[in-house]
Amino acid sequence: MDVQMSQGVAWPDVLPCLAPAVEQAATSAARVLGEMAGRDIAAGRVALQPVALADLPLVAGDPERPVVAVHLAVQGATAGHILLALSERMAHGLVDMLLGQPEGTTTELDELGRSALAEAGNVAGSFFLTALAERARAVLAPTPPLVLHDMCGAILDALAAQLALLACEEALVIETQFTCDGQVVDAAFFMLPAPALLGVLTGAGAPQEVGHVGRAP
Amino acid sequence: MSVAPPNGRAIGVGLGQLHVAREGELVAYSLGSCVAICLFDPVVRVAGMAHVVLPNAPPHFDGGLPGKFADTAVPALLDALRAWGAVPLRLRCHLAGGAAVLMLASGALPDIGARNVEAARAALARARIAILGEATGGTQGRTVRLDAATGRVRVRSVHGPEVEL
Repeated sequence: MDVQMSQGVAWPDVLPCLAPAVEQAATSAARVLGEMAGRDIAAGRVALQPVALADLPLVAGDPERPVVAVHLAVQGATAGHILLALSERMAHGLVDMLLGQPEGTTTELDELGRSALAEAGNVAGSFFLTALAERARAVLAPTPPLVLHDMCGAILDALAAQLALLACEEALVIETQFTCDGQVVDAAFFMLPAPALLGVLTGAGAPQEVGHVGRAP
Repeated sequence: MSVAPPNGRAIGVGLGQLHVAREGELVAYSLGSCVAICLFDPVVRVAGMAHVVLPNAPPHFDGGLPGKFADTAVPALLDALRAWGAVPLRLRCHLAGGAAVLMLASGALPDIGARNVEAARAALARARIAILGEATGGTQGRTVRLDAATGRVRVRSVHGPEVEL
């Protein structure tokens, strides 16, 4: 894979600079998710991977796999995307945890369940962004959360098109897996920064305030 | 990275790609806002598919990946099909995809799906190709399969039944 972004950022310089901040942000997001769910949730493996946009829909495996995802966009010139993607079973389990219900109660997502997931994704995403923003001395705010139930590849396809609109040829995929009570669970947290946001996060761009402030964590 | 053919007959058509075949199945997996343009010549039995990502090429487009943009994908796909003996006037056309998967209430993100569908229809109209069937718009992603030998187009959404256009 070409190590040079089309926008002129060298991956070997960017990745080591960004990795500690991402790990700290993932830890922060996992902790707040655990507090909401009343379980011991921790950030597992954190991977930073440059991916050609054409390959983005395949980055999470089988593109036709159904997932429940919470999407948050970072608006403005420094756009980017955050996605908390869960298998259907994991999403139902998380709803039960968030609502204090016995495991197995949720078998389909209703409005209450979607709302609980939106809040969890919003809080986790906001904590993740805040941790990154503090390191970068920038203010980064997400849009309100959107709960999606679709093929995983279709969500990533739509994100690829949004990034393509910004003349990106590649995306940096930041992927964090989670563990719950010590077990790896079928949930992943993705961040796809557009080049300008990548510049802010790595100190190449000037600190600035961007985006519309959603619900505060 | 490549799309793994599930049964050995499928040819994955990824973002921005276009492909022509006489046999097997051309597949665009899990389209979100992207649009698959499917063309088939029933006489010489050749099929082509483009996986369009954006509506229009930028002004100084270098022609690198013509399938990426609706306005460049249609002429490029026609050229490829002509090279395989197809005649544009005979082509049967179907469109699928173009969903507003990331439809935010705030309208924070542009509806690329709708723009892609509109641009694909316009490019096909310029080429005088009629669209026989569509599965476009909505908010759910789709997988599209084009049987290269018969021209049959099948579309499936998450948890939905597979339907023929």
